[in-house]
Amino acid sequence: MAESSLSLRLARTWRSFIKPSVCNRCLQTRRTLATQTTASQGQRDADLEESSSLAGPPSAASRANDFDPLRIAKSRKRQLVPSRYQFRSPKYYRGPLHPHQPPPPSDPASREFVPGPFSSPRLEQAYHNIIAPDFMTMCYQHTPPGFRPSQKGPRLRPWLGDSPYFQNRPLRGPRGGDVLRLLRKPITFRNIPMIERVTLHAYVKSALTSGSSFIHVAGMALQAITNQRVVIHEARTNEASWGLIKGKTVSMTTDLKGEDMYHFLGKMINVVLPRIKDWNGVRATTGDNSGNLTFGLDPEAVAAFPEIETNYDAYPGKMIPGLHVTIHTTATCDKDARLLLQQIGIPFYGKVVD
Amino acid sequence: MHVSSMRTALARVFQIPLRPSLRNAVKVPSTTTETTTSSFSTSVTRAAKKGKGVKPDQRITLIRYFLYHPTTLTPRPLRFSRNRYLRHWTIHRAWNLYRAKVKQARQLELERQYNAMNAANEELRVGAGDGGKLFRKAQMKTGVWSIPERGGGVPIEYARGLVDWMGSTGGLGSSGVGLGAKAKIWDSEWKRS
Repeated sequence: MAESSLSLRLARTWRSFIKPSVCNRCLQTRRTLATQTTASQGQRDADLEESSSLAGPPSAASRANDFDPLRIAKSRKRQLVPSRYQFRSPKYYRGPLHPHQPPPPSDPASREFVPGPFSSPRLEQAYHNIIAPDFMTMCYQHTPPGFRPSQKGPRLRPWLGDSPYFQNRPLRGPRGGDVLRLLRKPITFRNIPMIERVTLHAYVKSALTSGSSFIHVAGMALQAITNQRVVIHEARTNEASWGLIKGKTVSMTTDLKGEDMYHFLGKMINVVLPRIKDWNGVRATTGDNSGNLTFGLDPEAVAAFPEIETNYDAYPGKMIPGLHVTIHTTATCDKDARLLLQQIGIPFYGKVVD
Repeated sequence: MHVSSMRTALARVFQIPLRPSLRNAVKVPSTTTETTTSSFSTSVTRAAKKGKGVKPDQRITLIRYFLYHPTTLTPRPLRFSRNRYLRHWTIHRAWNLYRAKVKQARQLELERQYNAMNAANEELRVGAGDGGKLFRKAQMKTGVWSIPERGGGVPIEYARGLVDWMGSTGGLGSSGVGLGAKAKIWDSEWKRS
């Protein structure tokens, strides 16, 4: 200990001998008490300003006398840019190479500009303050320091063998099927699943037989519930057993994100779902194996949404549609998504398959 | 009245269907006799045909009217003057900055919690002095991804805290009579029939 500190000090002093702490240039410019100043007292430095900044601004009266807007305007070489924003954004996006590019969507002059958000939904706040930390805690998997998970082989294996046909052949498909499933990584503070978007889908079967009124009423109901315009879909194929005719309008979807999505979920979970009679919940086997869960609402449940219920007389009762609700989460497997939806307040029932 | 009659006359001359305007949509049935006359024939429509034609529901007409009203189409882009645009831009940048800060704060808070959990588990594993028994107990994940019906998962009461503010009537007065009774969210008297 003492030895090392001594050697350290020695080294430091040696270094200071070798390399002086003040460089040569600084020594030249430095003035000590003994040396004379080069500049005489009367001379001023050229860099110094004549007027002091400590003096006050010129008086208001003199400024008013000097102010001549007409002279300023005449002395201006170019015309000023007009106050109004004259740029017309292109109506259609013509690709990245077109010289006429639309403004970004945040610009109010953009055609994609959406004002808002105007509220912070209760469910969103609950997610960030309560649900996400709890989810992380429930799924916490401890790994001791220095722990390394065993390395697995590649998920898509190459073709090994002597056959000449294996040369340059694309990799073998995933084991046990054609689907390469999403990987589930351990939950940390970086990848806590959250609800990404909600898709509502209404299949209006009666529109095939009895005119467009069913479509219109269903579109209005969905628009009232979700605050979004619906997207209409046509049948892609003929299907005699379902009475489907190719090209006929049969269904509609809405994609909800952000504020609208949280408001819709809040209404559905807190107001609509508790009032469905004889309802067990969502079947626990639902899902597409990558964290998107779907369930259905019958027309009575849709009519129980507050927007429709308060104005129920405005809708023909038999034309209110049923709904398929798909909740897309950022979870990569169904069990995580189900846990998240349970925390939000959606009940599940039945067999659990993972 | 005069305008609408002129429109009907013009529509008859040009043989085009009348545009559904609001006045037509909520029109009283007395005017229907006027529209049933054909431009080619002066004779009155036959009674059998008249009975056959189903009059569409007035509510559907209204829904169509409001669904395809021009005001519901894409509005023209907003044009701001220079100062107003700059004001908007400043607020927009400030809002983005604020959102980024909030996001960062949330992320940091989660990271802090995660690190605290990690330290606690490590302490439990090494320093508890019970050979890691408590740690192994704490790490058991039995029933976490299950459902309450199967004795696991998240109980439904967990999310009930989010609706406590609504009350049993959604804040619409007492649950006894009137509006409060109508707005009752949970009917505790309901029995399976």
